This record gives sequence, structure tokens and C-alpha cells, in this order.
Amino acid sequence: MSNSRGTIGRRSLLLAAAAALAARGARGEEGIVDALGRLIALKAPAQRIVLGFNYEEYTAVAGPAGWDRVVGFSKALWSGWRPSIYARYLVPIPRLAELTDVGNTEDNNFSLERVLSLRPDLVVMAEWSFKVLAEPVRQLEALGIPVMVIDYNAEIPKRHVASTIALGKATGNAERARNLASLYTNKMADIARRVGDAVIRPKAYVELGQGGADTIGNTYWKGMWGRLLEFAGAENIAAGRLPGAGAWGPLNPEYVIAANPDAIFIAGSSWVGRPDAVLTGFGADIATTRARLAPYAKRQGWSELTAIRDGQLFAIEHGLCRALFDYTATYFIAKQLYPDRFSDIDPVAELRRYHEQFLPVKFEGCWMARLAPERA
Amino acid sequence: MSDTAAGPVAAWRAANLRRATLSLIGGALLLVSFSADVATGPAMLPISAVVRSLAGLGADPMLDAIVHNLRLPIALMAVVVGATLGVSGAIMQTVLNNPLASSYTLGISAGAGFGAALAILVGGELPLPENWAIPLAAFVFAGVACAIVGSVGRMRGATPELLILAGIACLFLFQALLSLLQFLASPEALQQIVFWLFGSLLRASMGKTAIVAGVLAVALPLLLKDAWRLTALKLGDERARALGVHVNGLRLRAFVVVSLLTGAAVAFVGTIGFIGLVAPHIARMMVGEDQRHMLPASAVFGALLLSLASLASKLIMPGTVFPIGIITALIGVPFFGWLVLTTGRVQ
Amino acid sequence: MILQARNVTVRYGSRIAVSDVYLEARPGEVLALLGANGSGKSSLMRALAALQAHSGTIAWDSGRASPGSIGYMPQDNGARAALTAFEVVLLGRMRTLGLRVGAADLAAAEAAMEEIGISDLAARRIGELSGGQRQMVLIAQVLAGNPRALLLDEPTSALDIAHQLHVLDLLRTATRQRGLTTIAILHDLNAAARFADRVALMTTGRLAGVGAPADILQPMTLEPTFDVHVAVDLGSDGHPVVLPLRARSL
Repeated sequence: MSNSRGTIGRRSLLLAAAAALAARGARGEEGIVDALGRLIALKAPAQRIVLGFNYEEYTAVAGPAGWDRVVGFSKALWSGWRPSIYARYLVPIPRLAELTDVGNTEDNNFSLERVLSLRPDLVVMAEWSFKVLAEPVRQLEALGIPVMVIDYNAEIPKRHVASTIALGKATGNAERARNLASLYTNKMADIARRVGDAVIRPKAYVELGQGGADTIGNTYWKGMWGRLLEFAGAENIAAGRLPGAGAWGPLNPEYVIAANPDAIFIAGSSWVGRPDAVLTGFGADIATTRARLAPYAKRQGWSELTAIRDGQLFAIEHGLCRALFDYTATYFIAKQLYPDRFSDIDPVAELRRYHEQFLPVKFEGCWMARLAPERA
Repeated sequence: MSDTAAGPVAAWRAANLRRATLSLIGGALLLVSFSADVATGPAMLPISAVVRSLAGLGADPMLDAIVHNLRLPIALMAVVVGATLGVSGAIMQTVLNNPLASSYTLGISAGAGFGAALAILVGGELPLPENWAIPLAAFVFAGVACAIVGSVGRMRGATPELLILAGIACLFLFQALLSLLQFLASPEALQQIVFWLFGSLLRASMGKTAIVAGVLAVALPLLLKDAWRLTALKLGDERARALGVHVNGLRLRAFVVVSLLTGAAVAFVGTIGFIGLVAPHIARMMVGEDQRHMLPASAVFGALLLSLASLASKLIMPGTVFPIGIITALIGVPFFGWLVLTTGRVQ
Repeated sequence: MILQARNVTVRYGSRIAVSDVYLEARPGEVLALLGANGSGKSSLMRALAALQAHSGTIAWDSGRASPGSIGYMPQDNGARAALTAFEVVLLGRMRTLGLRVGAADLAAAEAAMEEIGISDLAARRIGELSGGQRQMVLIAQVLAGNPRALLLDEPTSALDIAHQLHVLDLLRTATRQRGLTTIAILHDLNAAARFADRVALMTTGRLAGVGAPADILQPMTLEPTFDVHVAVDLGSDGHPVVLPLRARSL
């Protein structure tokens, strides 16, 4: 767990991503390679896409006009998981309301029949859907419909880049995609540079705030927030503590107290029908976010934690994770852990700039917040 | 009701003709249900297009893919699994002398559920693709449950009471183990396990359907060979023995066949309940207890029930597929109500 | 078939139900097996039918008995099934029944029902019949199998007088005409007196006596066996008539 090894690992990943990016730029618009390295047989930009996930990324790459190429998507993953974000995007992209819902693998209602009836020329799905849809993928490819896998969940920079480039090429927005990918790579390199030689890595804990302070939410290790913590130069107390694939799961509360993290991040969102959930996102104002976050400080045994005593309890929008703009979340986390090294960085401003440049919705609301009011 | 004027044999022949007709009617209804099942689905295809595609005249590969690769296997699987569960239930009710018995009573499906959960949990480590590992594990552990109950039966005499006791013990054992697995499972695995336990026809394929159909095709003649002996069991063990039936052996033999049938059915579609319970009763009402008629009738009505359930699962919420295990459970409720109302009167 | 049973003992765990019984029976003869409740009659009969483990030898004709050619009718336990009376009788043809029922089996079943006189019950469900009717159906079932020996456990216990007379008469006729070896457990001593050629009396697992009814049905043998005071008269047709007077020790 030595520092330098971690730094080298992170650095080389980013270098590889940058190299891949450059290489693609050099080759020009040739074959599409998806996040898993699969070659996609698509001659021209697709006209009838079934899109399975990562809708904000798609919008960033292809713009609102890009949705004209989409004929079906997994609606619940947007309107159900991030309702207030979906509502905002509905305004500049009214077509969303007309798109056919093909179901999703999380709810076990993915309908291949629905997909086929839309006569798509490209099906895009997240890696975690691809994993369980072996038979439908086989049938699609047998019918000559290419299946493209994108993966922002793994939080592997190379895959972030590959997914973005692939989406760009598939929709005829290769240049815009390259710009986005470069932005991401540069920002990540910046973070790596700033935390690179830190000797002591602060301990951090991240928990999903969907159920409120009375429920032990999931934490993350190999993927999503777990990886972002790594990039931000934190020591994730969940490392090595999650069973199975180690991606996500709840931690024993006793262990959290014993581990005594230096900073705690509660992932909130705009869930509907969850009266105790931590609220963040477009529709949240900082007062509401803080109000929902406050009960966490009063959790059993938490008052003695370093993080609570030092005022290092934060709320952060869960939708920032596994997305192209997750570097803003990484900035935020890194800034809380290494305030001196990131004194010139304003993560919220970074997010606002991203929205202004690439997304059709106005940036507002509370996306990242400290429980106690900011110190001067 | 009695054609006694014509003499017992003539009356019996007439009754058999009636029974055969009822079974044929059941078969005809099954055909209708099956056709409707193939014609329905989230893609809302026009019936004429479906018919053309089935006849091999389809010009649209996408439509053909929907009809042949998606709808046809599901509709066929419903028929085959329904028939299998119907026959299993019928044999179980006869062999255990209990109208509420089904192949689930003896813990066979609990064993299958445990096997599937185990495969889901450990799936990555096995050399088999998960698609086949899960059904195989389910089938194997259905067999383990059968072996446990069967060996108890061999050791202590295979009376219905003993088999039921051993079976319920087996049921509890596997349910406890299943709970343990669910506790140990990661959240994704847990979700998969729960979905499997729900039961679903959606992962059907022609290959899987052929396997279940094959098991049924082998098992049914085997059972029919013992048809009269099974009928004799209805009069009680003692009288059956007096007629020359080796009751214990028959029971164990039938039990092994039922385990095979149940294991095969459950392996691919998960635990779908109530078909094995309700179909034999309907068959009994229609054609009586002569097992030569009742077993095929149980198959027909079991297939009809599940085919109708499959159809209903697509119609209840147009565009999505309602979980079929819930629909079959809903069949069970009015059935039990009817049973309660009629049993009293028969006394 | 000639029956020769020697030293037959039946044990259920530590309890001895039948102890060292020696019994013979010949074709064309009706042997009534009598005794108080729990004296071992049913156990002995089950052993004779080769359905009960026992020690000693039971020989039918030459060699081991096969249940197929012995018509054993256990006591009716009221098991109900949705089978018609005809189907129940047809089951008596178990040995020869196949998936397609042959004409011979159908004819035998029909004939048996006619012999008993229950052809009109053929299409009725057995669960709907009265106890007596059901018993007659089961007798027809045994007869339909064309056995060489009849072992009947209380074949007439639920029948009214008329049917009892009819069935016993029928059994005796069939025994004589077909040369069957018939052993019947009866509770009615007077019916036994009238219809049996020989009588075997059992007490607590042992045979108290075997012989002609007139010899065995005497107060001397009956009183200790049944624990009751009796008077035995000679009836108008030459058969002994047993009149129970009062209980002894109960």
C-alpha cells in the first residue's frame, strides 16, 4: 500500500488513456472500439440507437440533436434513479417522453422483443447489463445489429475515454467526443499531479444516502466512488472489506467507527418518496441538503469520529459518479483532503463550466456541500 | 349419470369415450392458448404477420427473430413445463395419498432453489457458462433432495406419512441453506437469486424446451406402464398389496421419476408453484381416477394452465411481462377456496 | 390349492400375534376362522396371503405361495377414491391388465358383478356407496381375479341379513363349483355354523380347536375363547345355533 506505487499506477493509467486518445486521433475515423475493446461493425453514424445507460454522457457528446438518433432507452434508470435530473433534460429534449422504454436488467424487465421491434442499427449498453445479457447480445449480433458497450461505472480512465470516443463516432460527433475526452484526461492528470507525492493519505468513507441516517447505505470499493477516492488520494476504509466482487455493499457500522475516517462523504440525489434521503442536485438548495445531512453527524458513535469533530462531513451528488464529469467530484474530494494543494480549485465552478460548455441544462442547485458552513 | 341399462362394460366404455373427449377438448383449448401466447407480446405484432412468420413465409428477419427466437420458445416452454408439473403433481398426490401434495411438498423444488442459488453465488468459479451452470446445479440438487427422502424411505419403509415427514424435513433443510446463501451473497447475486426464485419463462430457448420435453417423453410412458398399479394405490396400501402390487417399490420408483420431472422443469424456469397442485384436481374432476386417463389429462390441463398464465402475464400490463409466479399463485387462491367449499359437502 | 401351514408364528417387535399355528385347508372347502378381537386372526390371514413376515412354513399346493393366485380381501378401511364400482372390480384383474384393457378382463369383471348382484352399481363412485355396497364391490373384485384360493377378512361385517345370506351362499357355491380353497374370518358364529364346512377357533394367537362346526361351537370351547356364557342349540336345519347369554368376567 506504498504511496509511490499507487501514484505510479494512477499515472500510468492516465498516460495510457492519453496515448490511446492520441493514437485514435492520428488514425482518423476508422473502426469503433468500445469500452471493452470490442470492435463495432458500424459503417456510418447510427440512425436508430437503443441506448441503455449514461444518458448525460450521451447528451454531452451528441447534444440534444443526438437524441433524434435514439429510438429506445431504459427509462427507469433515468426517470426512476435520477428523477430531478431527468425532469430538467426533458425540457430541451422533449423527445425523451416519446422514446420507447425497453426495460432494464436491474429490474429484470429488459425486453429483447421491444428492442427488436424498434429495428435499431446500434444497441448501446452499460457493462453491467452486457454481463447478464449474453443470450440477447448473441441474438442481436446474429441479426446484424452491433452491440456497443460503454463503461463509466468501473471508473477506469481508459474506459471513460474509450466510451466517450465510441459514442462520438457512433453519432457522428467524433471531434466533440475527442474534446471531452481530452478535457477529462487533462483534469485527471492535474489531480494526479497535485496529490501525487502526498506521504500521508487521509482516510475517507463514502456512503449512499438514499435511506437516510438510520439506514446503513452501500459503500464502494472496486468501482464508482471507491475508485474516485483512490484518484483523490484518499485511503478508502472499505478497501478489502467488501465480499464477492468487492464493488459495493454495506459496511459494518462498528468497523466504520473503529476505522475513524478523516472525511466522510454521503452520496445524495433527488430520489422521490424517500423522506430521509440526502437531497442533492438541481432541485436542492444548500439548506435542504444540510438539513438532510445533519442526522448523520448524530449517528451512534459518530460524534467522536475525526471527520465529525473536524467538520469534514460532506454531501455529494451520486450522479456525479460513473459519469464523464466525475472529475469534478474527484476535485471536490481531493480538495477536502488536501486543502492546500487545491486552494485554487473550485469544483462547483468546474461543474458549472462543464454544463455551460457541453450540456443543454442550466447548472443550479446544490451538488457538493459541507455540513458546517464554509470556513473563511 | 348412469347408463346402467346398457350393462357395466358398455357404460364403462361410454365413460371412457367421454373422458377421452374431455381430454381432447382440453387439448384443443391448449392449442388456442398456445397460439394466443405466440401472438401476444410487447412488440404488438399483427396476428397475420405472426402467422406468416410461423408458416415460414415471413419476409422480415426482425419479426422472424421475435416470433421464432423469443415468443415460440416461451410459449412452448409454458406448455412443456406445465405438462411436466401437472404430471408430477398428479403422481405425488397419488403416491402420497394426499390431495394437497405436489412435487414441492417433498422439498424437491427447495433443493433446486438452493442449487440455483449456489450456482449464482459461485458462478464465476465454474468452467461452465452461467447460462447452463444454474439449471444444472438446480437439477442436481433436486436429485439430492430426492436421494435424501428416498433413502429415508428405503431404510424405514416408504409409507406416505414417512415420505411426507422426510420431505418436509428436506424442505426445511434446503430453505435454511438457501437463507444462508442469501445472507452470504453480494447484493447483485442476491437480486439474481430472488429473480430466479420468482420463476420466469423468459429465458426459454428451443434447446432448453427440448430437454424438458425429452424428460417428459421418457417419464410419461414409464409412469403409464404402472398406471393400473398406481390406480390400485388409491384403494389403500393394504388392498393394493392384496392385488399383488409391490407398494413400497412402486412408491420409490414413482418418486424418482417425479424428482426427474420436477428437477427438469424447475431447472430452467425457476420455482413456479400451484400448477402441480391444481392441474391434477382439474384432471380428476374431468376424467376420474383411472391413471391411464388421469396422467395424460394432468399433463394437458397443467400445460393449459401455464400457457394461460403466460398469456395473462403479457396482457396484465401491456408492454411488460408480469412475473408468472405471481399469476400462478393467484390461481391457487380461488382454487383453495373452491376446495374448502366443496370438501365439506362431499362428506 | 391345498394349504399346509406349520408352526406359523407372527411377531410385531416383542409382541407375539400368532403363535405356532398348524392349519390345513382343502379345495372345495369353506373354513371359518373365528376368535375374539385381537386373537390374531387377521395377522394369520395376512401371513397366509404372503403379505406378513412370519416364521414357520406356509405351503400352497407345492412350493411357495404367490399372492397372484390367492384372492386376499383385507378388512375394508373405507379408503375413498374417485373410482367407479366397475373400475374397482376391474382392478381385481391386476395380473392381466395392460394399458388397453382386454375383453377377457372386462368380461370377468362384469361376470363377477353379476354373480354378486351389483351390476346396477357399476357406474356409481365407490365413495358414494354404503358400507355394505362397498363390501360387495370388494368381494366382486376378489372374485374377478379368478383366484384359486380365497382369504376373506370379515367379508360380511357390514351387510344386512339378506345380503349376508346371499354373499355367504354365493361364496360357498363358488367354492364348491370352482374348487376354491376358502378361508373367511367371520364374527357371526351362526353364519359360520351354517356356511362353513370347518371352523378354526383362535385364542390369543393360538389355535384353540379346528373341526366341524358342531364339534367346535360348544360352550366348552366358546366360553373361554369369547369370555361369555353361551347356550348352543341344534337348529332346524341341523346346524348349531349359538345364543350368547351374558358376559363372564367383563
